[in-house]
Amino acid sequence: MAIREVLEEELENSLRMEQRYSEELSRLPQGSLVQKRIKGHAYYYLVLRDEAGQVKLIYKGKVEPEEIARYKEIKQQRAQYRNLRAKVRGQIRFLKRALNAKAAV
Amino acid sequence: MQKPQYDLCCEVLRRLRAQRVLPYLVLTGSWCLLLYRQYFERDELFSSLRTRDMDFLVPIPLTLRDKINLPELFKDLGFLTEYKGTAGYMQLIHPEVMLEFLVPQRGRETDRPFDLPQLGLNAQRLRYMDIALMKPIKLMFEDVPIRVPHPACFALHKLLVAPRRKEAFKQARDIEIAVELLNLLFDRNDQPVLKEILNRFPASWRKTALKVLSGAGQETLHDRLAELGP
Repeated sequence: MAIREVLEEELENSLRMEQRYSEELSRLPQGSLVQKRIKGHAYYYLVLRDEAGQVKLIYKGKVEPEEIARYKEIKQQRAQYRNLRAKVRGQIRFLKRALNAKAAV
Repeated sequence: MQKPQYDLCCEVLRRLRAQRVLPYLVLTGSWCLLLYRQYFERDELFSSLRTRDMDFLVPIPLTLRDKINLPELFKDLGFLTEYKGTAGYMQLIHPEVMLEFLVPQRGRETDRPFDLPQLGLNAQRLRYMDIALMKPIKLMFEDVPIRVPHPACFALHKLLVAPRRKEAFKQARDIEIAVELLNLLFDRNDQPVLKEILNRFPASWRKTALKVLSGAGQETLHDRLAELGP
């Protein structure tokens, strides 16, 4: 079997995949919800980074349980997509190395 | 096969089975070769490189009663929906495995995807896929029974699609797999199945299959197969 062509096809797939996971990550709402207790009452802040990389806290006040659950789900999804994108990036590095090594032979 | 990839494939199949979709599908493509080890009772077979695509053939018309949205079913596993090529065939992608759905191309050639609203996706139409549905057999993928084309159908299908391939390496791979499978089938005295399938082929298909074999220098195999024809 032509290994080189198969590796090239797999590299193309991985590059496409990396782009899709990046797109999906950018579509997810930014930030995580954190709870602060002030005088026994729970208040929520949205923690996110601005364009300069600075951490920003946006006061949200009292938040409905459905919204808390939604942010939790988004956080999990973001972690999963980041993880999978990192895996794809590892595959891309491996495939590029393998293709370069084959070209050098 | 790598463990995470194998585990993910098992999970995909288990979910399809739990949703009662699996009995309607036929696994095709290079993953069948892995299962054919069971059919030929030889673990060392087909150890060559495999791509990540896992192709499912959907017989049409699809008589599935309940609708199930497959992109949603696999979303929590990290699968994303991707639209492939200019025609926009849907593909469910994951770093370990890419799920693709196929239907037989019938009548006039078209690039348009085939909508499968019962599954919440579309499928790519491919010529000669009806062959894969002629005599499906059931093999086990871990604990999940799954339908795959009979190896005779798989081999003959490869011979027919090989000349249609644009990439030379894919054409060579199709012929290589077909030759290996045909030799294994003859060794196993599976001529009656090959004969049954060949007899259902139009004359032009039989001619193409034989032409591909002789073009590849497989004269012995060509003659053995020609003997089975009507």
